[in-house]
Formats: sequence, C-alpha cells, structure tokens
Amino acid sequence: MNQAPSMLKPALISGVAFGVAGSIPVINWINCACCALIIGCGFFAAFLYSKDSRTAGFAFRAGNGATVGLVAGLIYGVISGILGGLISSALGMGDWQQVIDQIQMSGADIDPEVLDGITHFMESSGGLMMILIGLFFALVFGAIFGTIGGLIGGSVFKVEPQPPTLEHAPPPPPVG
Amino acid sequence: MGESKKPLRASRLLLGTVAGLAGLWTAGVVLAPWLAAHDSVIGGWLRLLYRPGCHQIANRCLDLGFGPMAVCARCAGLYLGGTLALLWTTVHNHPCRPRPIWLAIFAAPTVLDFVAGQLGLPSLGNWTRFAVALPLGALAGLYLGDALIEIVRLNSTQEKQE
Repeated sequence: MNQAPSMLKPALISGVAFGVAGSIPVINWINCACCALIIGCGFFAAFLYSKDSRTAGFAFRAGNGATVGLVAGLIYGVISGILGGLISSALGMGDWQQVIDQIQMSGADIDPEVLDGITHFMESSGGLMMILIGLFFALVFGAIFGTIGGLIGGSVFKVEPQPPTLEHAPPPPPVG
Repeated sequence: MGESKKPLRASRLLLGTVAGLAGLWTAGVVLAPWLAAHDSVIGGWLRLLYRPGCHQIANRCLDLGFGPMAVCARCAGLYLGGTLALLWTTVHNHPCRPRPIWLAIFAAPTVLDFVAGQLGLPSLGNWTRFAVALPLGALAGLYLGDALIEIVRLNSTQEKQE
C-alpha cells in the first residue's frame, strides 16, 4: 500500500529557498508587493507537494495546500528572520530607523526621548533585539501569508483522489 | 434537507467573514490618508500597519484627493480585486476555479512591470498599474474562495460520515 508523501520535504525546500531570498537585500523588495515572496513560498510548497501526491496516487486538496503552506511559511520566517536580522545588524539599523521616521511623520504624540531611548537600547543590544523582533514578525507574516499562498496553490494544483485500482478487483467470471 | 444545507451555510459564513475582513483591510488603505487629512493620529498608525507589505512610496500611490493611499497602486489593485472576488464567491456560494493558465496570463503584466521598475526602465502609470493588478487580485480571491469552500464542505462530509 502506498504511503502518503511527506509534507516536510516540499515545505523545507520552499521555506529555505524563499527564506534565503527573503533575507537578501534588493531581492526581498519583492515582498513589497503584498508579501509576494511569502505567498510565493506557500504556493511553491503546495506545487511541490501536489506533484509528490500525484506521483504517490494521493489526493491533494486545499486543506493540504494550507498546511504545507503554513509549515513552509514558518520555515521561511525562521530562515529570513535570523538571516535578515544578521544582515541588518551587519549593515546597520536601516529598517528600525525607517520605522522611527514613519512614526514621527505620522504625527503620533510620542516623546522623542522615549524614541531615542528605544533606538539606543536597540543599538546597545548588539543587534540581538533587532534579530528577535525581525524573527517575531517574520514568523507571524510567514504563517499568515504562507497559508494564503498554500490555499491558493491548493486550489490551483488540486489533485483528485484516484479511483481504486483493478489490482484487487475480483476475477472476471469464467466464459462459456 | 436541513442537513444538506448545513455545509452551504457554513461555507457562506466563512466566506462572508473572510470577505468582510478583506473589505476592512482594503478600506483601511483609503481610510488612512483620509484620517490623516482630518488631523487624526490613527491615520499615521494605520499607515504603519500596511508598512510590512508595501514600500508605500508616495508617488507610486493613488491619491483620491486627501493624500497618497496607505499602499501603492499595485497593492491597492491586488487588495480590491481579491476583496471583490471573495464577495462574489460569498454571494454565489459556489466554487469557481479558473484554469491555472489564467494565473500566468494575469500575473505576467504585473511581474513585467515590477521587473521594469527594478531595472530602472519606464514602467506603467499608477492607475494603469492598479488596473493591471486588479484581475490578478481577483483571480487570487477566486482561488482562495474555492479553497475555503472545499475545506468547509469536505469537513462537513467527514463529520456526516462519522
């Protein structure tokens, strides 16, 4: 009897590939289009899993797509969160400074001393805080958008269950 | 009779909830500059909420008369398209799954425009970019609706069998 294909392999392949891409500056700008890289991660994982399911003769449905997309999204989150955090801390506090700028531009009534204090704390933590915050957001966004990508992939690459094979069918009645 | 209507009701409820949330998300895109134009601090925070998913470059955002929207024209098109498709699926409560080739056809102009923009080549104007992204978002919304309906109905069938 055939065994259902493992979900981990497609999730790992997709999560690692997209996670590395998502942590590289310039390439991760693709995420600026509605987190397209994360949605693509879930979608690609669903595609790989649907191929495995088709080969093994198993059904592949939206639910499978959502699950494999979620796992791939979480792997994406871990990889891009850690790698991206390391790259950000090596290249400077660019992302955090942008957030501070935007908060100030929004006209929010936040004491500048508080913002300075937070920035100082972020800088003095040696990039660790930046990595942890990045990891948290990467995991949250990875889970949400990975699942959406997986759901879309589950619908696009749907594989219907195969009808029972003739292997176990009863022998035909004798002729004559 | 009532038993057979249960999955239909459940799928409509789920689709309606998802479509409602998508509608709120899309409305926030317009609401953020409107609130900011009316001196509300919430507008700024709302704009920050959309930050992780969009570059928010002001001259690439649509402007309805009270400042640039909270996301760029492309994202606005994707959000609106997705929301409209989810609403359509909720109203019809019937799975609609276009052939995957349409995904490639509708994605191509957006991908080409994105690549052109990254390479510094001339790219589309804001309203054209919005119009090009709209069907792609709608297609994604249709697939999402189809997937949600399938999950609900499959669960209902399994519950019934148990």
